[in-house]
Amino acid sequence: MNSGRTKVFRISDIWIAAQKSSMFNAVIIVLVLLTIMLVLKPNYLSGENVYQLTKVLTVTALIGFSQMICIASGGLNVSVGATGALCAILAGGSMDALNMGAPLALVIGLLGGAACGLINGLLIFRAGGVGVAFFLTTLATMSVFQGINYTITSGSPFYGIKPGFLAIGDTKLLGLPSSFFIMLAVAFFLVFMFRKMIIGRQILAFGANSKSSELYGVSKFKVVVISSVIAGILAAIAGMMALIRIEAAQPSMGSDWMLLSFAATLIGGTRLTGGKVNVMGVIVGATALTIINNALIHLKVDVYWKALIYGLVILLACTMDRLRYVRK
Amino acid sequence: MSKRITKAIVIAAIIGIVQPLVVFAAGGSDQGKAKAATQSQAPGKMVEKYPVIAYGPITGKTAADYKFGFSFGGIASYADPCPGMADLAASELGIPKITVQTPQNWIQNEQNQKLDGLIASGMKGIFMMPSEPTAGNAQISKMVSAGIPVVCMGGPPELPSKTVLTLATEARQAAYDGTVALIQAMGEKGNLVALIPMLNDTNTQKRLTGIKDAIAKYPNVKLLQSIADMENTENAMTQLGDLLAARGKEIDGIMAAGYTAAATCATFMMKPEYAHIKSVGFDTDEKVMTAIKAGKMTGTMSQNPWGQAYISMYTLKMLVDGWKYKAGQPEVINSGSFLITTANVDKYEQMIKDETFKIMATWTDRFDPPVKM
Amino acid sequence: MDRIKKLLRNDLTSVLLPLFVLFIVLVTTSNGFLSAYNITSLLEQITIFVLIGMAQMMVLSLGQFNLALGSMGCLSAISMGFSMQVLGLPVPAAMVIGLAIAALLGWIQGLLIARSGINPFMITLALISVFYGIAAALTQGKAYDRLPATIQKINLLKFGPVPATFLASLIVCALVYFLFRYLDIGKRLLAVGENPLAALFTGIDVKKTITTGHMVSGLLCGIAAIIQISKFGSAQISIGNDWMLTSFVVTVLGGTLLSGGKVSAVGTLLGSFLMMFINNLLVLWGVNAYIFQTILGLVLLGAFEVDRARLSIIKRQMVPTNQESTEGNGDE
Repeated sequence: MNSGRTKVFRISDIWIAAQKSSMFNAVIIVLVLLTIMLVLKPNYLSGENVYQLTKVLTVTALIGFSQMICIASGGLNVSVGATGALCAILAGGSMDALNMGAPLALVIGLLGGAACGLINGLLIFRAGGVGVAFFLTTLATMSVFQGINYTITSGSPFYGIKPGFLAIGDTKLLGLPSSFFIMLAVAFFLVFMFRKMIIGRQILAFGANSKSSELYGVSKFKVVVISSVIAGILAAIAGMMALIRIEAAQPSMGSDWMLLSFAATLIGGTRLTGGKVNVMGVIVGATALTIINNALIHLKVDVYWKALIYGLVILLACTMDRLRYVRK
Repeated sequence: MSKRITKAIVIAAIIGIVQPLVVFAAGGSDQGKAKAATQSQAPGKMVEKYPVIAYGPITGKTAADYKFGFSFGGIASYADPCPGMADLAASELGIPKITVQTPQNWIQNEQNQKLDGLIASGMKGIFMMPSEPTAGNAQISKMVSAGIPVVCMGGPPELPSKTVLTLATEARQAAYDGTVALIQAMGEKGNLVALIPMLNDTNTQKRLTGIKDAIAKYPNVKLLQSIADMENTENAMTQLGDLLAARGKEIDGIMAAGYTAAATCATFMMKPEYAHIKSVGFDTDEKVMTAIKAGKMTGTMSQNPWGQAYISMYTLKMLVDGWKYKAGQPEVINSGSFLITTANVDKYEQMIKDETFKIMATWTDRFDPPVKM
Repeated sequence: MDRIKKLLRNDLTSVLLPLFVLFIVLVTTSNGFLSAYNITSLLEQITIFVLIGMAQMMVLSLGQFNLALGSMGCLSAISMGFSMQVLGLPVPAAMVIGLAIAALLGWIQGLLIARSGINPFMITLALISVFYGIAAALTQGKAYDRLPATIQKINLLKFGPVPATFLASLIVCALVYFLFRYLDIGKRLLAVGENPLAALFTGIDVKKTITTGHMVSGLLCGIAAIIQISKFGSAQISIGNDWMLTSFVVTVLGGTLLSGGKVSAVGTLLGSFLMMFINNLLVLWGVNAYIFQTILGLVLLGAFEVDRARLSIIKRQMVPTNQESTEGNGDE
């Protein structure tokens, strides 16, 4: 870097740098939303509100991370919700039905995520490894995981969650839930992985152009399987944080996650074509979605408008992204 | 060529081996079950509890004519007591046990496939809760036209319907009673929040009406806000959490008029910061019962899935025997709702079953007996 | 010619064989399978499967997905319900409106995909919510259930146990087959699906082809919506919520290549039968409802295996001079 020279940060420099960042749109959306809400409800950012919002956005962000890795490697994963739900059930079930302690349940949940990810990875690799194969394989595994989920639970939730487990995510630190810090830790790991670790760079290269990266020696098998396993573990973490949030292991968890996973990632600036990710963007995207949902409740908007609003927000984010791309 | 033949043989072999195993696991073949039922029958014998109803198949019919199927609208804990009570009724009536086929999701197309499958495998009577009250009617009409009597429970299909009758909770009354109990626990003053399931469901609309009617009777009680769409647990937790975070201090009472709504409410009521809020729920989810026992929730309005299953089985048996539902009788029969509080929380199941048997005591009066040959 | 015949025969075998075996198993192990009631029920359900399978197939030929076909059917159904119940229009007029709206929705999707430059997957994903959201906001969740009796009569029209709607779906199937086999638009769709860049260089208007493909897909959803309303006797926003997964299963089972460039209308028809037989089998055997979902997923995975095998057979059978054209498969 430039040694000995002090950098003068002009406002215009910051503005130009900010605009270049792919999560610029997301930040704008969040700021606009926050402004609107603060005007309507001056105490919108009260301690309790923030705590509650953060709990929800943490889960959404983790869901987004899981999808982000799949997109980075060039694929689209619709089984994120089913994986998360299954791992939550495994963790919850081990505490409720098998009376295991919280740490063991946590491990079981994570292993479940890794196993689902491994299954996904191997099947996807077998089916070709990119694009279509990813989507359709995960469509099938989604059904399988959901089925296993319902078979284990017979449709009833597990309520016997050990308090120690809940404390993992529900302890108040600095006014925010501990799950938020877990999510941040995951985020930093992902940033590190994609910037400094070889496998991270390989995943990105593979996602950007699978053929040429293979010519350069990137192993398709390694990339597909490892990214799937990590995605599975992330989905498991999301599932367990969701479990902590709702204090129950419900078989119906994860049913809304597919749309959220893509929305958070996309709004946050990750390119769907693969090869480029924006980890912090996912968090901002998740925040945007959480605030929108929250706003609908505060503004007493009929629930029937929710689907339309979500769809339009995604389209808006895509369009904004496209316009930026075109202007370049 | 040989590859294809090998494939065919392998597939056929697998199916040939797997199928008997699956059938065995599913509880024996149809013929086996029918034989077991006929053995315990004696001609001319009547049901012990209700001597006007014939025990076992009547003359001219076999046990196979009394195979009944049950399909709830979707996978839900509400229906957990149903198979047990239905089988109890079956043993009292001397007919085969029921077959259950419930769709995973509340999707009418899925339930239709299950129902059609039940009929194709020989069920001669169905009791069900339609997955969708409007769309379910076409399927009910189809089954009734094919000679299969249909009894509905849990919630009525959109009326008019070809179903013989529906056993359900009188939704408005149940919500009304629950809200009154809540308001009394609140000291007859304060702000009340209503949590309800899907607003487009007529059942839900009736519950909301009941809540509003109860509030109208107490001038010092105000309806602060009502939240609908409390069906999916994650979503319900978010909504209630958001509301409590925003206005928790203003709220004095919560009427959670739905299964998931009540369970969600129970989760929050266990937290110390909401100890000042009184609440009454619906149905008997484990979380709700725990909260009531711990004194964190005032009570819950239980419905009667026990009775709905038990009485439905009896009704189907009677219909197949030739009993006819009298012309002036109501299309929807109130199967009862019960306020469960800390006082009776340990014996509510027996209480509800007793109520069921009370309804059954005069049940046959609603029907014209079969024409004696 | 010979090689093509062999190919065709090879494809349909993977559907026909299990179909045949399942049929035998069902007939022998269940008394009620061949009853008029069951046959009618099966065919009624297959009708819808075939139509949504065709709708998905139209878009798969382009190498893309139509995730929003359920929502297209939903909004189309709502518009028909509105026309009949609120506007009081006669049934045929309402049907025309429904079909027009469905085609319009498909056209919108195609237009967005072709011209906006946004990723097609995201567009169709977002449109699931947008189209459904419009329907939900319009109806506020209420169903249109006071429809004229004629609409239900369509469903009740039967020739023996065979519903008239099933025959209608067969006609649609034949038309789609005809479209892909003989019509210019069919060839263009397949060309774009096989390799969009190459298609562009051969002078095909790729944008128009994509738009047309999605529009026809929407139209087919509209037909499915009509039949669904007729089956239910009512129009509500829950229509179409189970279409997406089924549409993929049915087309894949039937041999449509998931990577684009090859479709099989007959295969989709047979795939619908296969899926329905599997469903029926599981119910008739009294299989636990929870295992259903798992089995559906496993069936889909099995179908992919067969699809892969078929793809490798096709590649192996390619004449050496065509080696460059195998590039475009399965990478978008």
